[in-house]
Amino acid sequence: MSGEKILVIDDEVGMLDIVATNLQAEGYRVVTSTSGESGIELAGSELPDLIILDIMMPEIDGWEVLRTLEEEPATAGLPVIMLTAKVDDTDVLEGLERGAVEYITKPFFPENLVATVKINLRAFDKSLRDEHRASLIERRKGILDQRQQRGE
Amino acid sequence: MGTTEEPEIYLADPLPTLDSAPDGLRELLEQTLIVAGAAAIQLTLRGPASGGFGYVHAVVASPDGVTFRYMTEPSYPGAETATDPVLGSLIWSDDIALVAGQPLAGLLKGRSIAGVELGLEFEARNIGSVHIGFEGRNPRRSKTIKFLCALARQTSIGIGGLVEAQALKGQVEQSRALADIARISTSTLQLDEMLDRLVAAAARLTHADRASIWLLSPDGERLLASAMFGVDQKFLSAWKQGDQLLTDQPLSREALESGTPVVVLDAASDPRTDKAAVEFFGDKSLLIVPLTLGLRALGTLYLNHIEKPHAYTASEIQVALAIASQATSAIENARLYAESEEQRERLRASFRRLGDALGSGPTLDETLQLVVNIAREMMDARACVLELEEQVDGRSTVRASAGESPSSVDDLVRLVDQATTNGSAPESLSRLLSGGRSEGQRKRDESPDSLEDSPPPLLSVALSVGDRQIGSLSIAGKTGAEFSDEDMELLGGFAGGAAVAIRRSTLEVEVKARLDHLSGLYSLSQAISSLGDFNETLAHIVDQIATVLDVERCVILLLDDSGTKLVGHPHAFGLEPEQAASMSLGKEEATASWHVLDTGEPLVANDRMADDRLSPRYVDEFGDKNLLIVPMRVGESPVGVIRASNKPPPGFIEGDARLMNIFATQAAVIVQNATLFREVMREARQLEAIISEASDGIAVVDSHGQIIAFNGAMESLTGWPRAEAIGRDCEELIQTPASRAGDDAGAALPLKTVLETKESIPYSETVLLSRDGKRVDVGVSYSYVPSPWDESPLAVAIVRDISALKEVEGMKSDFVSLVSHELRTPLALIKGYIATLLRPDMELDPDTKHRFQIGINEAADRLSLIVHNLLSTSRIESGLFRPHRKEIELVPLVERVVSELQESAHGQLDLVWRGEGFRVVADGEQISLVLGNLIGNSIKYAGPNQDMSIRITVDGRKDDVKFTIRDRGIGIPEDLRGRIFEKFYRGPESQSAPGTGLGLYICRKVIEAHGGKITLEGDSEPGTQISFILPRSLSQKDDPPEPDIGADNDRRVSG
Repeated sequence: MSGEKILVIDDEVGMLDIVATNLQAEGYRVVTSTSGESGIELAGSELPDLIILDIMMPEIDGWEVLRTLEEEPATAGLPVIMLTAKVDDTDVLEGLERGAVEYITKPFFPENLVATVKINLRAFDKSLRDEHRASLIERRKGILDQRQQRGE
Repeated sequence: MGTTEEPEIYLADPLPTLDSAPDGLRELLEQTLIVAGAAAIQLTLRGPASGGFGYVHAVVASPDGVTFRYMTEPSYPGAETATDPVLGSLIWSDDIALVAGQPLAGLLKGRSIAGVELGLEFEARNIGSVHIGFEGRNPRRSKTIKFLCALARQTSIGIGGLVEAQALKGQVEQSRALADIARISTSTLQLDEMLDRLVAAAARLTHADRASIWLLSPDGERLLASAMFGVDQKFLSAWKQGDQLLTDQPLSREALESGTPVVVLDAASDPRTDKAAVEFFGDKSLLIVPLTLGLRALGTLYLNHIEKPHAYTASEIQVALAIASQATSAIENARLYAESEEQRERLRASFRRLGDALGSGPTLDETLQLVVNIAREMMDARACVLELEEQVDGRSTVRASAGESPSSVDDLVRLVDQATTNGSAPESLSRLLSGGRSEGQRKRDESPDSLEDSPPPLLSVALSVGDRQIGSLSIAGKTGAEFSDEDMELLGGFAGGAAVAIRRSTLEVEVKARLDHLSGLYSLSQAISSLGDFNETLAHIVDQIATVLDVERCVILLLDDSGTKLVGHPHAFGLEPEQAASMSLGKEEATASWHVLDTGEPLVANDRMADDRLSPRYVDEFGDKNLLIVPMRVGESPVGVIRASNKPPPGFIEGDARLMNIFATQAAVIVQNATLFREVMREARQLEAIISEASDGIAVVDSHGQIIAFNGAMESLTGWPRAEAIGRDCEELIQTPASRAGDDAGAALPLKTVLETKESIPYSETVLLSRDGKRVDVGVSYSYVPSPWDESPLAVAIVRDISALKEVEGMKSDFVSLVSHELRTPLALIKGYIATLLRPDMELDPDTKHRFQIGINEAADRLSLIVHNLLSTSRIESGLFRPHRKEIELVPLVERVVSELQESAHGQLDLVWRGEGFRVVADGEQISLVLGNLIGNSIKYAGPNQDMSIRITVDGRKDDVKFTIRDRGIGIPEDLRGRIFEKFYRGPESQSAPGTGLGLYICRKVIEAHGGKITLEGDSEPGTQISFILPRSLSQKDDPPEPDIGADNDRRVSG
């Protein structure tokens, strides 16, 4: 077991339970937070290897958390996986553009989430992650453009 | 006349000169400019004599104000080709400067603007034209045209009056000068002094820089300088001492040989001039007038224009001739003075008397009588008569006489008549003064018809001013006496002075009358121009008519709106207002007034009994003895009539009708103007009211995209006050925020594009930025308003505030994504729990499994609540929402809801029961929904501290039950309190929290459907307090409760 530390931020206690249960079963150490505010605090104090972040939260939402994490030198560059019920393509694109490495929509398959976490925790260096993200952005933009052309 | 590169501006004709009254004209033009709403005006006046040149006055309004240029330019470019506009004509042009010519074009500096040319007329004469240019507006509407025509008419009257008044003033000045000359020559001055004064007068009257009189030497070969004006002192004595050979002076010789004046317009190029002298003295134009007495040449009068070239007019040459004639008389008088001591004494005495009398400013009749008295005494005659030619028909009538007895005067008159009938007078007499003694008329009437055996000798001399004969002076000698040549010369010399004196008196009388009339007209046109009180102006006209015509009564009868009745205007002269206003003449009565109105011809009735056209009504009522009625018309359309009556004997003459016609035309213009003005104003006010009162914003731009109209709704939409918006570029003023961050803000209302494409846009939506940066969603219709002239179209934007609509739309669209999220969240939980439970590679401990099962259950409940809310909303929307009421016990219902939510609230829900009796008639399921929503909200918005101390109070009151839910959460801001019960509404604080914006809306609908009321209660800071009141039973008018068989099963009582 690698024992990497993963921070999960979501205002739904049930969701935290589900994600934590699945990740712990894989041997990861899981820290959870039910609000953006405490999430940012925990990211700074725990310095996790990866963060799973919800968007729709009261007070400080996921976007704000993402921005703050990028601004803080200690947390900047941490891989963040967005896990959210916002499923619009524009939201996905926004998430990626704002620095998230992956965007997983709810409802999700736990195996999928675990696999994504695993991939992003591998010995990817930052530049490779950035490259990967850039290709994801391109792909998303392509899909959006095609849709617009079709008049959707 | 020389033309130079830069056209010189000079006055070609001393009459009429407007130099002395440019203020009046300027005022008039400026007024016209403002009233017509024009950008530029050029006034061109036709010269009275030549007809070929124009006096040009141009006014141009510019952003800096009104520029006035006064030019008297006889040959401005285009003047030769310009044709007189037809009387009262109106011509439109897209480039008015092309039609108006250089002056206006110059002032406009090449700008091309559309406009109109109007012909000006005064007393049925064409007096010139006005060119009015308009910029950025369309004056082509029919009312504007009518208004312009009316303006042109009143401008005509004003200008015509001014010009005529100036011309007459000039005439008066001239005649005064002539009278001065007469006084000079009738005084006993030395000849040199007399000639000095004459050259000075000649120079003044012809605007010459230099004038001189040269007398021929007795041998007729040399010219001696006798009088000089305008010559430098240092040359004067040298000149006076020297003389010139006549043969060296081709101009003087030509004048003396032809006996007519010689005009040199361009001294530098004329072959007859002495080039050395011209260069030395800088002469530009010359006028040489011969001094001749009969065939005898006496010398020349020399006039030099040095400052600038001068085009001599007929009247100036006449003046020069008159002065020359006076100089001749003076020279001749001097000779006579020297020749006859006795005659000299008599003449001197007579002249002195005449001169003294003239100095006291006598009337015409006094002057005439003075002339005959002096003449009779001077000649020691039996009788003396003075005849003057009537201006109208040229016939002579005796105007003054003096004699030993009345019969002696009669005899003399008969003798003069006979001489006239014989054809020997008056033309031959007229030459007496200048032609010398040879052509004098000395008669000894030898006709056998003569009443007396030895008729008295007759001597007649002409009374002439310049070339013009104005009458004759005749004397009859004592019986047996004879008239000598000396007598004739003496009387002739006297007649010269007398004629000037008489002319002066007649002119002054004429001029005074004319000036009075014209000043009346002018003040009238001023009154019209000011568009002042309509009634006051009409009253003024009526007073003017009564004063000028000397009538007892004058009243204006105006055609009423139906066009079938003439009604008296209350402001009448000689009638009480009520009396005048009561006058009413129906068309069917066929009265004189209607006759005049129909035919357009004035009617004069000096003897009412002889004229059967007169209506007996007012004639008898007022006791009118005579009557003058003239029509008031504007173009072809009748407006009314003016009726003047009771002029003292001998009653009305033809000139009265003509004069009153002028007044009538003006009165008609005033009435028309007032009517038009009222119509235009009413139209403008209506339009303004429509625009300003419109609930939609309206902005109008001109062809440059500048705002020319901006209404109140527009002010509140944009935050720009009208005064600041007018004149600004619409696209710069009103902007739309950038569509993407970093882009520049753009034009919100693309009116310039509308002007370019000339296409209206029925509807489009945009966002405009108000002055304080607020975004306003608007729907806009754009209209292109074409103009007959392509350069001045308008574009209109009608702007409607659609922010309320947009907000609802936005809320709806938010709702869709919210609902999908709201449904997705519990679904995601359920799916997540189950997928985890079902993972084949994972074995979960029993605790976790149990926790997951509870989670699944809760999530399913949430899903159920959301679906419930959605369905309720849908039912409310479609009108199917009705509570299924039955009698229920609230205690178990409320406790169940609270216990279900207790877990989410970390057990901090506090339920309090107050009062007694908790049975109500209601839909239990819906009340549960309301409570669930309200308590759910309190939990959801507990705030960062997760303070869940939520208190639910149920108060059993007499007629109702009051529920209060109070929390210590984030609360609701003051300004949003009014909106929280709206459908889809979610406060900004709630945007990140789950929710559909339906909960409170459903609560309100449910409570209202139960006849209750839900309110947000204040002063619970921090947190929120919401109450609702549930009536125990329904009032009469509401639906009765549904009978429910199984009601008892639901009744559970709980502590």
